Amino acid sequence: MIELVRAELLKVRSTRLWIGMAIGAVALTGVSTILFLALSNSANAQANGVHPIVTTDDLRSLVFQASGTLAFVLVLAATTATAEFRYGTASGTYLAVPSRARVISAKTIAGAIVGLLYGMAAAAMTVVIAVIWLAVDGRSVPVGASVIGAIGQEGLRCAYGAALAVGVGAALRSQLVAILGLLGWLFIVEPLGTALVPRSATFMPFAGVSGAFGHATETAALFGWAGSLALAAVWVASVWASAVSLERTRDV
Amino acid sequence: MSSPPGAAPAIEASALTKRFRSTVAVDGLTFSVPHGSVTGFLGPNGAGKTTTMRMLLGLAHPTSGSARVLGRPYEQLERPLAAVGAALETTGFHPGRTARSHLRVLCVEGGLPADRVDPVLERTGMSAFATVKVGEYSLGMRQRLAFASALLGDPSVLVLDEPANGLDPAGVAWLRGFLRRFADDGGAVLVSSHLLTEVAEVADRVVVIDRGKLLAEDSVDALVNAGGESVIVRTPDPDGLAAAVRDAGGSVEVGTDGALSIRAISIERVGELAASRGVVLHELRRDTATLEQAFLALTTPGMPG
Repeated sequence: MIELVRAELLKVRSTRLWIGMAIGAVALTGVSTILFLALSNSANAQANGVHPIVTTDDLRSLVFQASGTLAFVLVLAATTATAEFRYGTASGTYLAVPSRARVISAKTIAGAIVGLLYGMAAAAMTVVIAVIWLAVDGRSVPVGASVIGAIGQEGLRCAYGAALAVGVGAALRSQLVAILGLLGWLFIVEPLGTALVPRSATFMPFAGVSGAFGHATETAALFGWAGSLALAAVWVASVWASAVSLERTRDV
Repeated sequence: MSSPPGAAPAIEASALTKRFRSTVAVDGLTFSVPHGSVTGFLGPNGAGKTTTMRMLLGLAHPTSGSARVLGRPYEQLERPLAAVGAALETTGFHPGRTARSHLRVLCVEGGLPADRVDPVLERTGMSAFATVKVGEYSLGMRQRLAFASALLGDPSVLVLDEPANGLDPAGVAWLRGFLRRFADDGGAVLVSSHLLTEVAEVADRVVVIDRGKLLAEDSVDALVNAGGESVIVRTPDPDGLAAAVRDAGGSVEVGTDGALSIRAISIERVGELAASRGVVLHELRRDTATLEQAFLALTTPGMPG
């Protein structure tokens, strides 16, 4: 399995998409971090509950608030899974590795590794920008263990998202449908569902597991950290199993 | 590469059937590909060749029947790329990946050493394009890369779907020589092609299918000669010669160009009959059947053999 994961990582590295997605994720996260820092000192922002970065906890919150990486990770992971069908490379892959469950497992693990790196890199960049910004402003906020933990949590959140996206891509096969479906779910379906039926958020694939990744407290209160993590595992396993069972019966 | 005597065929299809809703693409197909031979896989467009090859390789699931490669279903081969090399029409390449990257990925997936990449690039004439993205390749270059992918694991069985498509004449000649040497060294080749003259030159055996059904499985020589040899004669006195031939037990057909096509008696006997009757001949030759004629006779109703 290690060799298969290595092959999947090599596939990601051997095209330029990952660079484009990294630039997009870094740019969006950098811009939102700078905007947050610039606006957080204004009286208007403070009136709306946005506070300047003063404590380590503020810095930790900034890591979560400024993150725009998940959407790019979803697109990258779904694209790597669906590209096999779009370009017909799935034939070559299945000739080398006839077990479709192994291929999808390797893709899921490789996607999670890439997502982890993207999430951690973007979160770390947020911290670096904030520390520099504050230093220029003559302020200093200690980067404590909780901030380092937030970087890890953001990495895990993106790893989780990537694992889901790979499964969705493998199940749907269509690049466009997979990407639009994932982004539509993240930005439209879940927020709408949560607004209309608040309790539904508890079991949603993104909102429901956010307690495990530091993004929300409501579900953490319901499930706790371990419960949210278990829900995340259930979602990944369900999507993986759906993709495998569909793929096993399909022709290439 | 040679297999022990009595070994199972390299490829066996047994009552292989594939239905797509109401369409039967492959209908109870049974054939085998022995070691040490090139087997041409022939059929008109839509005959079911590619679907059959995909089922042999585990890429498509048979509705019924079974396929075995080296005695096992493809999915059960331990290191498939080291056993079977395949280049199918459906096999694609990521346009943003170079040939070297593509082959390196296959090496890692297939558990093959990475140092296999450069030799197969060299062998298929792709070394100069190893770092060029596949999106910039011509059809012939993609075909060569597909072939390089098939050779990566140094397999003993090759399954090739229209491998000559897009190749230049030198490439076709190289491919022909390669397949011949591969089979002579004990390897088994199943190759589909529309280029019947190419198949006739390189194949030992042919499997002919149409509408998913087996029409013939035989050696090329047996298939070509199945219709019998005929003798073509041009003469200013066709009626006189035709009467003499019929008297001698032969059959005669008159072609649209006026030439006589004579069967069931030898060319020597035709010459003797003409001489004995004083019939002047302008042309006397054997009409050697071709694989193309044999193929058309099998697949086109009403076409003479």
